[in-house]
Amino acid sequence: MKTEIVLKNNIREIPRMEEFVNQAGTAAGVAPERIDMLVLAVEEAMTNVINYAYGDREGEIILTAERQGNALVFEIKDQGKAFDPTQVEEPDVSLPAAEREPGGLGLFIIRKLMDGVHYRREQDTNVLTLTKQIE
Amino acid sequence: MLKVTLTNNETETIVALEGRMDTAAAPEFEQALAPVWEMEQPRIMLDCQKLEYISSSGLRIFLKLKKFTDSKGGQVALNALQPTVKEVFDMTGFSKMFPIK
Repeated sequence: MKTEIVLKNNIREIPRMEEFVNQAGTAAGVAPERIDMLVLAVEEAMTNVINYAYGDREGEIILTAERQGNALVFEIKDQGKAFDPTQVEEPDVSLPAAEREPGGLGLFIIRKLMDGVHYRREQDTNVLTLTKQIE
Repeated sequence: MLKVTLTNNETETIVALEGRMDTAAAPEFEQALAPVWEMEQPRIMLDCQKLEYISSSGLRIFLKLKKFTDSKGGQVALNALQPTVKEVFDMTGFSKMFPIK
């Protein structure tokens, strides 16, 4: 079963996303103590869209969740400017505080938490697919 | 939902964090730290025992706080971390930046 939620590009929508991912994770049989890690990965992806995709314009973010075999697959779609977040340079997390920059951590976290991270541009839509194998 | 409480004792300022520090809540944390940003020599204890969740938006403010206290010759430490938050700190190298007391 595929579920979907339509969100605005506003940080006030984050709690609605959290509830959606919680339900999708529970329905797919993800261990309760691991669900927050799914929420975290999707939050990082959504935050990127909120911060960069639409500039100051209001726009929509379509989030879907689907169980595919032994995997739970999330898709995050927006119609903002074309942007491939998988091309963002990874931060060096071994550096001391003074040398660390705040950027780039979101995608780093997504890569650590998910088994697959793929981007594609479909006509005027950015599609980011996050895949998590379920034990 | 995030609750931030600042308490001063004789030696340090205790910042107690309770709940979820997601992207929606992180600005509240930054604003609640307003008195800290004015300190000459900040000595901060972040009480994270009841912090259940953190994303990169919250980490950003932790990093800002660490850089600020270092630049002032002050210090910032943590007490215990919940497992979910500890995992995020370990993964991102933040565990090494914040001594756990």
